[in-house]
Amino acid sequence: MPFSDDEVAELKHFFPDVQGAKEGGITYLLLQNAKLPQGCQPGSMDLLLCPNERDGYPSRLYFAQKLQQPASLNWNGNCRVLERNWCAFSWKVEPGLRLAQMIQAHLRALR
Amino acid sequence: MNVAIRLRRAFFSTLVDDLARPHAFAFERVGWVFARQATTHRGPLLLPDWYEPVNDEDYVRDDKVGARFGTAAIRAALQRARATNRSCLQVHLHDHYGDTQFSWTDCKTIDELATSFRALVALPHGGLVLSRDSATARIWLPDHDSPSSARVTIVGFPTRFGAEHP
Repeated sequence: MPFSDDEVAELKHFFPDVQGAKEGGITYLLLQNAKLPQGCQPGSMDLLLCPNERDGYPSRLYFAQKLQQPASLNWNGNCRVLERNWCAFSWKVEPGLRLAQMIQAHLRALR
Repeated sequence: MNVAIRLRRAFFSTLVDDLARPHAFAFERVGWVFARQATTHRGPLLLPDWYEPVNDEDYVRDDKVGARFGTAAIRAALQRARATNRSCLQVHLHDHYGDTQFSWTDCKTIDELATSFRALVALPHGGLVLSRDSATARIWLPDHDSPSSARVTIVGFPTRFGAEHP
């Protein structure tokens, strides 16, 4: 999935340390040490955005580990991508968003 | 030396369905595929005909890898390979479509296991990694000091030729 320069620049405005990486024909975006919404425990961690359809979700945001807070999330997506383990909770985000909007929509589940 | 592996489509589907099941804590599932051997004018041919998943209780917690399992799982696989005179291939799934390839960790694990298996059962052994619609194999032939080039064909409709490895 190609991303336009302005979309990536917009994403970097919110998450300065962004890297793209491809595995299995899918381009993932790795957000290193991303700051999470207030109240999350831990407050920051590496995130991995799969902007494509996966596991029945239009896009998925993976976390380097399960959050201790909030506790009410339905963690249902363990996977191994780019030689690392990732966890995701069940949260559907509408398709067709820009990358920054997509991540913010996923993080809305944590507020 | 080129090694060919022929997987029946129904067998392949069984593997994918089983390996895609979530585990309580492991990030990937692992199993063992056992194969009969034949020889064609092109080289060795492996015909997988049996699958054994690693039991849920044999997984060991380790966040550094997708899945780690204990010696009981390895011992059980080795016993089956000896008792049935079958090649043993460790198998796991990369959950995407299209050609797939082994990670560095996959290669290391398979090479260690294949070395042990070949010492006790003098047959080709190695590993198999599946995607949702393709597969790749890493095969060690007896008395070879590096993995042989291998290609998996999924036989049935549609027939699928996987990427050659290494």
